[in-house]
Amino acid sequence: MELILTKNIHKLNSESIDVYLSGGGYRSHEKALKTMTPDQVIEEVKKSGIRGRGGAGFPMGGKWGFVPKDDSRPHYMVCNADESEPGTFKDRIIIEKDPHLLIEGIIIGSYAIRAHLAFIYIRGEYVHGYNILKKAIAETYDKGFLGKNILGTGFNLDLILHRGAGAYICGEETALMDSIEGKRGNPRLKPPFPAQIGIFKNPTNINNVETLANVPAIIEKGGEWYSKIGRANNTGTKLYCLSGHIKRPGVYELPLGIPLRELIYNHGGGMLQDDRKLKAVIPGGSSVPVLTADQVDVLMDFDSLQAAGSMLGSAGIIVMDDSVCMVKATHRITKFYAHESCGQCTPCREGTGWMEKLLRRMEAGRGENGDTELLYDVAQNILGNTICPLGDAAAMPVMSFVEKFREEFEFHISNKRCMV
Amino acid sequence: MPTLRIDGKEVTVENGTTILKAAESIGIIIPHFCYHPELSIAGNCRMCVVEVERMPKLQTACSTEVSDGMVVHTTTDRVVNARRAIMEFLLINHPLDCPICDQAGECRLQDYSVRYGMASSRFAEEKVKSVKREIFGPHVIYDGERCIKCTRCIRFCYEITKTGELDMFFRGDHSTVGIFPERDLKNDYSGNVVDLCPVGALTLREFRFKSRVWDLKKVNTICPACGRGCNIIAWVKDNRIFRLTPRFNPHVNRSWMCDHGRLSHEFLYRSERLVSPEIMNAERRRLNWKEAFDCVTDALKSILQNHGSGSIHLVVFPFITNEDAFLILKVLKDVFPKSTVSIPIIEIGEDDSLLIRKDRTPNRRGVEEIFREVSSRIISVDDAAKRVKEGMIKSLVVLGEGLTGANDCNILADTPISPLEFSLFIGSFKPWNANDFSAMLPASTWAELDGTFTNFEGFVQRIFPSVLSSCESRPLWKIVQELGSRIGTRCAFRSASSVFEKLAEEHQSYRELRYFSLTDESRIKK
Repeated sequence: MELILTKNIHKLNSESIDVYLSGGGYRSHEKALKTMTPDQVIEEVKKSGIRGRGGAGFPMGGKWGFVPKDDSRPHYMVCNADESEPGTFKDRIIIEKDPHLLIEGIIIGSYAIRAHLAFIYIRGEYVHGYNILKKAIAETYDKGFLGKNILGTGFNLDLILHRGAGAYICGEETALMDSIEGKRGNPRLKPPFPAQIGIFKNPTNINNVETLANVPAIIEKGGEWYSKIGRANNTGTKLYCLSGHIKRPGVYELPLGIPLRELIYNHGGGMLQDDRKLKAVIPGGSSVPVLTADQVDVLMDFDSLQAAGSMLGSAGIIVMDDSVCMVKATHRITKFYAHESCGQCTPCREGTGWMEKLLRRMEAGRGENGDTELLYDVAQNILGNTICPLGDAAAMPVMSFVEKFREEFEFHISNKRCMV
Repeated sequence: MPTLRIDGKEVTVENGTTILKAAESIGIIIPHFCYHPELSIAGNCRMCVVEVERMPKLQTACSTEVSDGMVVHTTTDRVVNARRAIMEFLLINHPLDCPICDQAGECRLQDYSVRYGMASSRFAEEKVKSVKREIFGPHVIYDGERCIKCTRCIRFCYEITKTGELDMFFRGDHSTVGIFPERDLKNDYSGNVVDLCPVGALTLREFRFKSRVWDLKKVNTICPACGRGCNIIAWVKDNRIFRLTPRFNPHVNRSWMCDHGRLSHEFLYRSERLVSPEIMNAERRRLNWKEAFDCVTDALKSILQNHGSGSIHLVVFPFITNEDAFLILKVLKDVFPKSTVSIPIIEIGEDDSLLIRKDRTPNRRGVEEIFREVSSRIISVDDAAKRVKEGMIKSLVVLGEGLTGANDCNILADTPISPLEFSLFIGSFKPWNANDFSAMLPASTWAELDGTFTNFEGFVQRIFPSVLSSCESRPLWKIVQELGSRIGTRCAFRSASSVFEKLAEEHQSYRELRYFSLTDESRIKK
């Protein structure tokens, strides 16, 4: 299989512009800027069928198309590098090992949506990535690929690197926009959507790092070529982040639609301890519903996972063997969301804290009859009633853990200890 | 113009109207905490969720704009259950201290609990602790445990006063409204955040713990503290005003009032009231009204005989009502045909961009409008003082000073009164130079009166008596009428309304205004 996103990462000094150029880099943005109109670029991306890699899986071409064409306001391109979902570390590899792939994608994307100012919003904890990107952007300016009149085409683009301050919620696109504006990062009500009213009330397009890193290859080899990778409606390769009780954790670039079993047992090398059995897998970062061991034949793509009652999310695959107490795991996940809830809207602010306290009590052996139902009910009351998806992200794992491992919760309550 | 159905009722509204407003227009009130018509949409309380057909999720009515053919349900089981859930969430960390909470009786949490609350709590954990009595500013105090984080107060400070003292601090269930370091919530409108707060988190330091709100009687009236004439409600118990709150009037003050006005009732209880007529007659004596009128009439008559009406000067403070001014005008025309008049200017600071007028009198526009007929006789206070010195003015009549309780304005400071042959004071509170006056007659304060004020934009607005006079005071126009008729005018009005009807009949600007049918939009003609 031909690698798209990780083809350069094993080269020496892969983060430098010279290595990137010697590998054929910055050819796509030249092609786009010199031989294609912005609409042709969008068309090509639409043809590729690529869906957003940030979690929601929205088609990128469609998203670019939403940015109004005849609008006198300035347009903005934003790269969401606030990778914070527990179990996810795929964007980091691109940022640290191949930053120019991302920058090239941003330049092409900005050209397509007629933006002359682009942002990379990187999470504050990625200090190393920040330094690399800073250097990479400076190099790109030096080569004349950023700035005024790029490659003599008359296209101007500035790229601003913006560091987050440590809030998970700033990875939500509207909170991210507030954060870039210098405000407290609170998600906004939608509609209006960013394509109409985004940063500083101007049309804004936000894409994930991994999504944008696909753009140079799509432009170079064509959307047609890209759409043949993976499965129908789930095209392209994907960076899968394997972690948990597994022999070879790490980032794997493989086509969308690969069976989860193959990922865990072939690529990941199987269970960490051979005498342990697989118990559960979270397939898309901690916010998505958990899968049980007998569900591992599911294909890892947007549609198949949705059919299986979960989500591809960020493809942060967390593997759990039979030593894991599911009450404890649920508590750990819920604690994260309770801590990261922005506190803006009622169900998420109050509900995540309540779930966390309930689970803490159950985990400590002070659970009471009816607590499992109450927990499930609280999660259900959060689901779908919040401003942004963080409420759902907190509720979905709780509901799925209770649904699939109810006997463990009940055991914990009646025996005041873990089942495992 | 989209047409939609809400709970089976069809309604057509303007483009861009929200579901909440559309529902309101046909009498369907959707419960809400964070939504306020004057502030931006926050959509954070989630109480106003409704079901919209063909939309998978429940939608917040406050933020969702209507579209043609939309079908909205506001009372389905799904909606009611969602609201029950929201109420449960809001109450789990709430202290439930209604018995000692000032908001009790006008609290949205209480009101909605009746319909959407549960009888017992399912919450068995420890509640989140927060600040209990953080002082935000001179008038406002904050209880973080009662707060439901609706951000109305924050939005008010950003959007209405544009001072931005407040914001949300911390995250999740520890988030709390806070004040930025080294700032105080001391803008001129800080009291409004207390009115905005749908729960008992923000309380007015001057009112908290003073009374349960259900014990207070509400009287709609007008703020006397400046030329704006904000529409207000006076909250009264035991013949005393406990607090003033703004009353919505889209043309005058919308939903707000300033802190100065909000506390203007305190003047009523701070200054020494003139309780009965007092005459300086060898020794100071308190008289009854009949004796006092006899004395004052005799004195005025003798001045008229000896020096003519040109020697009498009137100082008319624009704290008085239009009715008072009309009777004074009658006297000026009928019995003091050559007397001069001055209308002191009482100004503090500058006009601001929201409500506050530098002119701190409530009825300057009305008094000037009514006195237009005698405008040639209006002189400035300085000129009047000069004429006193030159001996042209032998007698001074001061009307209306302190009628609103704001008698700390020392307008007469430079005008010596004692050398005058006769000086008469008609007002509510003892002036600082009370000993210099020959006679003082107690008038009712704005809080004890029927009448009208004309604001600086010409809106004619009724004031209502909130309290009964606790002393022998009478409305100023009645005192003037009595004096006038003893000297020679012919009028016998029995009520403020009859005075106003006559004013409307005689005065061009007030024509067509009817006392009992004054509305928010009633204003004098240009």
